[in-house]
Amino acid sequence: MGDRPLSEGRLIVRARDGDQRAYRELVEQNQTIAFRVAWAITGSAADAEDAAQDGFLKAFGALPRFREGAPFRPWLLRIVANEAHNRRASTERRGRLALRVAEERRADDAVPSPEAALLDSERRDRLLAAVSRLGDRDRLAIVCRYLLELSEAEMAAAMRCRPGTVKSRLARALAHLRREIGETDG
Amino acid sequence: MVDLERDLQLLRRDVVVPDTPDIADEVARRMAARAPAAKRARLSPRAALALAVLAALVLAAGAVAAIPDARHAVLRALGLEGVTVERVATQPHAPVAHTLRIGQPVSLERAAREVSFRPLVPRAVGNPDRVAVSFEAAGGELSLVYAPGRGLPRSRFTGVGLLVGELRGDLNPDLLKKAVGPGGRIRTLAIRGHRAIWIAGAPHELFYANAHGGAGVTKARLAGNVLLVQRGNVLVRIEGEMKLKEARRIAGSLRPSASG
Repeated sequence: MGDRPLSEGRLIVRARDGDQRAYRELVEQNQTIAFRVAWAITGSAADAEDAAQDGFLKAFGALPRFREGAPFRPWLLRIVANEAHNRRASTERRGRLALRVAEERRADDAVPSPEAALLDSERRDRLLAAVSRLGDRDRLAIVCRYLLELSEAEMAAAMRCRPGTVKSRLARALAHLRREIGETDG
Repeated sequence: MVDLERDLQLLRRDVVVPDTPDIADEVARRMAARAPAAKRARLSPRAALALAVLAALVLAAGAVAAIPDARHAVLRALGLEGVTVERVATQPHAPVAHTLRIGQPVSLERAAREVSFRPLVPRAVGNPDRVAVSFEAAGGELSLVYAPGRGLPRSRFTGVGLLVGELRGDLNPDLLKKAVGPGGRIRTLAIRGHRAIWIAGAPHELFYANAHGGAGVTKARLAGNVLLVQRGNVLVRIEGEMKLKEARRIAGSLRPSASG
């Protein structure tokens, strides 16, 4: 494959022609975001790993359908997200995504950075609890946008909706979150 | 609550996200597990020589050799990638397909763009009446459908006159499995130097394994007479109510599509 790293486009072309090493590079480049999206959907690291693996394998088979020049990540995430949604729908234990704060972060609170100081632990815990109480669809929108920092196209893939509806979905999720916090504040 | 969005952004740094497991390793392992057996297994020089001699004998003679009727004999070693043929003790009982599940209808030109191989069209029967592409197989699977008529009787298994399926055998070594019962005949032959298998007589069972490395079968149906031909890395299935002579004529006329 040479010393010079291949562009994503070249890797896709090679993988589409059956080059498994090229596909492995694509997997390595995208496995973290794919796993996290699957985790946000299934609420389980084990299910997320399975869904991401199956998604990558399906995506390899579907590469001939990939439109050359189109953004790869949203296309891939849609396949992985489908796997994750299906897994969640079929699993007996449909646990909610458990969001928690890292212990080391709690320890860091002793010497907060200027930014961290703005989100004190009490507010942070209240916000986490409110996000956790949201319905699946709202919580997924919030997690994708603010915790995973996905683009609109990627959010649409993760939420299985059209890119044009991402903004309204997110606005609705924020409104519900505000209400949740308002209720707890009140 | 004007700071809600800013607070959510700050929250990102505090929330525990599980570490990403090594997905690439596992995906590569599962892909390798589906790699052609010949590439996977390191043959001893003696075994490789024996295989080469066997292949040469089969091809040079253009032989039509009957396969021994061994129970559960897996006949993958015949050199066709993408399919295993297995002898089974009992007659298959899969359902007859009422609707062919062959994917999305497309033009031949579009199919040529979407699959990862150059489509082959049997010139002996002209252009197909219908073309479909599905992606259950890695690299895509192309189906050319010919309506009954013009010497092609309606198949009781597919409902069409002729069904030609094409896929990358090298990418899908274990995708198709054919279970042939006691009444079925299996023969190896060479067609214009290309390895081929003819399955005829009693209907046999056609399985599609889970195409992406998982366990299980995604679909199964009964199939009639079929000729399997290895053309480079493409496995071609020619299925219809026909005798070997006609199947050979069709297979011998396979040419790369002009739109490929």
